[in-house]
Amino acid sequence: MKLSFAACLLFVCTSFVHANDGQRVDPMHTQHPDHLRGTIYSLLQPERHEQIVGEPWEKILKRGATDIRIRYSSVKPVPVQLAPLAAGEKKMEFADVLFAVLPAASSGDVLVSVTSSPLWNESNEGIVFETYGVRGSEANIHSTEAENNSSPTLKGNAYLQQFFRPTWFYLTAENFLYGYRIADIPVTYFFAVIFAVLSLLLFALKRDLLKAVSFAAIITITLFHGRFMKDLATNTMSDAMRWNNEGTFSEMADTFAISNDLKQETEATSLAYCGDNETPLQYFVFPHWFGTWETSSLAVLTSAQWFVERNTIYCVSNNTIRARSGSILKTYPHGWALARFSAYQ
Amino acid sequence: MTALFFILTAAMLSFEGVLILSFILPGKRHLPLVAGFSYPLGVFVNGLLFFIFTALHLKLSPTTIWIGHIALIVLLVAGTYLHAQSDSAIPTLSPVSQKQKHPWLTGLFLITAASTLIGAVVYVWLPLHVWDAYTNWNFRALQAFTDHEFLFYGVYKPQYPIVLQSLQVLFATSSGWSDPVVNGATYLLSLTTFVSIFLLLRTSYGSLVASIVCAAFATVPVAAIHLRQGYADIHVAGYVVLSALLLDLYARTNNWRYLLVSGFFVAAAAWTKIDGLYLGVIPWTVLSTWTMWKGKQLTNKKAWTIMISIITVSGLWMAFLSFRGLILSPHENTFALQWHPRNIKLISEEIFLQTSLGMHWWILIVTFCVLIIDQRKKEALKTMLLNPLFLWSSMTLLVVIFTYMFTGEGHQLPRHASLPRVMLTPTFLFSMSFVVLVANVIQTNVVRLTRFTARAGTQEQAAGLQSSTPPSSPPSRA
Repeated sequence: MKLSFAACLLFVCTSFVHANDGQRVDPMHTQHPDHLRGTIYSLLQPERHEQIVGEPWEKILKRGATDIRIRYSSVKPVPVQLAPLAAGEKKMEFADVLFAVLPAASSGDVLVSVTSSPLWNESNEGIVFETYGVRGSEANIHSTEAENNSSPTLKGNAYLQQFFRPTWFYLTAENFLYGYRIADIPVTYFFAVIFAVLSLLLFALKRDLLKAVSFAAIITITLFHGRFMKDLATNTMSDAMRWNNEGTFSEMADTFAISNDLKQETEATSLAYCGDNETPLQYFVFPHWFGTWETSSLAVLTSAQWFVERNTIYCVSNNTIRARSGSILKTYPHGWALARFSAYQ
Repeated sequence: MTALFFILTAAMLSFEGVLILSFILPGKRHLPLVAGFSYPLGVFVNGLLFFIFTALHLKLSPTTIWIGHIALIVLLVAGTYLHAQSDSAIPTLSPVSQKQKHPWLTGLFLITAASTLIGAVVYVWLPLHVWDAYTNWNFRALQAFTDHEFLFYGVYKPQYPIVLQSLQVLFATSSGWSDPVVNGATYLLSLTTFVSIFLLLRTSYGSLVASIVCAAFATVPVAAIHLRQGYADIHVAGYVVLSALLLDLYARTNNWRYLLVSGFFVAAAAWTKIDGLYLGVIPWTVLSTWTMWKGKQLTNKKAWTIMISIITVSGLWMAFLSFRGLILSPHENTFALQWHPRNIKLISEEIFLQTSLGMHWWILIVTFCVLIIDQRKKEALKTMLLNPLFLWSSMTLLVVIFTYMFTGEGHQLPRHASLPRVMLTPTFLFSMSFVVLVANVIQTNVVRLTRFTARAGTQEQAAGLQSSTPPSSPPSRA
């Protein structure tokens, strides 16, 4: 998965193509929003004065749509988030959203499938999507169209993909898991059917209901655990390898690298944080404390939420922009930066 | 060097646990249990020691901490020499003497449980990575370690009881603060609790049942996640399960020693997290009284002394918070009665449809129904309904449902903030009680299990418990 993602990044970052008519682009597994920002930053590689922006979510209506066809032109790869549009008022979860990267193209024409989203089924009302770009040089989207290329084979593959779609293990996984779904139906229903069928089969053989249910229970739990263990083991190995190779894991992005640098700061200082959530970093930089943007000497800027223009650092967070003169001390691989405000230079 | 200090600190806590348990559960046959219980008990004792320091306004400096532990060890060693045990009233456990059935199945279940535990150990070496630990658990311990005291103002949720934070401060004092050290200390608590549960179940119900129960615990997805870098919920569940098993043993022997150790662990649960109070101490109090009544022990002064002492110790932290003028719950309106009708749907979804609790509740409900409709097992059903393990499970489930349906905590539910991890304790308890019951029914040992419950205190032999007192002697009394 990691290799294919790296290969995809290499491809989209180095090529500027005339994409063929309806070239298929495979969507990748959803990433947590914090992690996603880092990926988008790596793809678009904005200059310090450039800001990454997301276009508003767009909705294309077509019942049971399987693919979205996008015709566009862009000098940079185009990160896209997309998902099936569920019928009714159902709220879309982050775990339902897919992520794809359209290659840079002067005249691109691509098809992206949404069937691997666990929200997809034939009663969906259409597709929603959002593109990202660097402000001022965003992709030109010429046209978008939802297509329904459904077939029994495609449906079978789609439901299989949905079943094996990994669950998230992020900071909040201690509280709940998003769960596995096929066609927006929790897989626990399917396992309950397996449990019932097994119980009846064993009862027919043994004529002892309690024994039958007990053995069926063991088999059902083993099957379910096998499915979950696949994700748990993959996640454990992935986290361990990323920690060894990149010094980070999960959605922690540059948290560890930046906290190591801040620990070297012997000067009594206060820190500002530009981003959505300083809680994990607060733990790692303790005894330094985060203060306000206006009174701090240093600032931690998280990915895709900041830019610099004429020695002024801008922080875009929670739909507000804060600005203060200063300079960037260091940038980090996932797009984070450490900045010093001018009054302290 | 860090590893050496880590091992020495763990050994010191275990040694303290062994010394305390050597008073209560002497005898060679208790040795495996004493070894298993020693670290979880040592952790609790360390928490109480830190509380004494805090109450006396002593700084949590290395000097205070080490002097405190050395003094404790000296006192316990002296006590061991001075308090000679008379062998006459000491029960000795002998494992259930049944032919080992399906050893390969036992092995498979143990491998399942072990794979989760071993997989989780990877996260001991990774930096902290769990949400609440960034605010309430590791962070609070880090602040206490840095400031040499537990802070009660200007910090996140100072109401939380202090057993886990004290454990982390202790290990950090010996080995320096690092995530692997403090997470290793809490992981070791999870590990030793699991091992203790296995040993206790094996003694009471045999290896196969013990291994199935451990596998059932390890296959709860949210438990597997909490084992990685858990905070208190997994430890509360572990302590409560241990306490319930020991209470079950007390119900079958009427021996105050098991009631006392059961009380230690339930108090430890209350000192780990406030949930331990209502998932642990309240059911324990009700069931201990009920068990005493069933075993005609209501006049047993020793049992009452144990009960009152354990309740007092469990409630100390809350009393201390009140004394300091702090509200008892960090959440708003926890104790306010509020009706949340839409939470019925949310609770059902979290229990049955999200993967956090796996397929366990589907299976528990079906098994319960089968036991009810299976007329041949009427005796088993009656036994189950009178069994402390089942009763404790039911109480915890009712408490959780009541909390989310009728109190201010119900507001937490739509945010998915806590239910699956709070449900760990009822899930563990129900899984264990059902495995024990079904295994006994399937092995056609219904009568034996029934006899434990119905004639508690007089059937130690039948329960696999052999007293060194003559068979005709009455159950030990104070």
